[in-house]
Amino acid sequence: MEKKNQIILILFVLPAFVFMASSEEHSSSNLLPFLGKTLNFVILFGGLAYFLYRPLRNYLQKRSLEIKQSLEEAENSKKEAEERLKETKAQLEALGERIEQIKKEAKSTGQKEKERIISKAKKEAERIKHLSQQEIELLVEGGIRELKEYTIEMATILARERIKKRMTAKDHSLLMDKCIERLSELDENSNTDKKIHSRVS
Amino acid sequence: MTGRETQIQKNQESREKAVNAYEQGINEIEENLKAAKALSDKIREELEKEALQEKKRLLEEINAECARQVEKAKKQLKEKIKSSKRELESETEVLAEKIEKRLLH
Repeated sequence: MEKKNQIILILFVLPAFVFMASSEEHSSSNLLPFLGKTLNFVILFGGLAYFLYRPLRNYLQKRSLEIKQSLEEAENSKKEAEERLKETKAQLEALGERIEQIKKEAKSTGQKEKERIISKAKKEAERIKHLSQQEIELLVEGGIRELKEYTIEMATILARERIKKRMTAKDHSLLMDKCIERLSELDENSNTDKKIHSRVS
Repeated sequence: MTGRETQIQKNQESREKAVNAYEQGINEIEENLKAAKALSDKIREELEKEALQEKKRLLEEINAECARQVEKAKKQLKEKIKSSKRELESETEVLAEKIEKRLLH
């Protein structure tokens, strides 16, 4: 504010000094035009100062604020970029560890999958073994049945031949009687069963 | 050039440098992670392949072994039936005699 007042004072005083310096050379008739000029000068610059002071001040304040903001933004932007760079560097440093972890996880997952597949294969192998065991058991059962049938067939053939050779008329008659007797017994049993059934019903 | 412009330019240069380094770092990280992922996939695939080969080998072995055992059992059984039939021929005489006695006496 003091500086401003000093400038205004100089503006008023300077023409007076100029006048005083030139007054020795020129006559007093030059005083009026000089005063007119000085007055014009004062009015012009005073008016300019009066009308332009506030807009100029606002403009300069705004401009300085913008510059300050742009400086701050540039600084912030730099800081932000440096911060990101720092983070990236940290990530890069931790990258090796992360890669090792990924490999470790892959190995672990792969190993588990391998174990699962092999375990399943072992179960399948057990099932195949069991099936082949069953097949062998069936073969043995079939063999036993074949032997039984063979024995029965052979015994029947031999018995028939022996009976043919040794059977007399008496034996034949006796055999027939036995057959009839057996059939009668069977018939009686059948009738008894029928009677029981009818009573029950 | 004023001090302000110099400062701004300096900041911009620093920022650009940092951004470039950051982008380079990010690219490096992405590439490394991509490579690690590819490697982990390969590891898993290798292990799975090994397991499938092991499964194939195991099942082939067990199938061959079972088929061999069944064939062996068949062969043994055939021989056993043959020898048993010979042994049973003497016993069929006894059985035939029993049948005859039961029918005729």
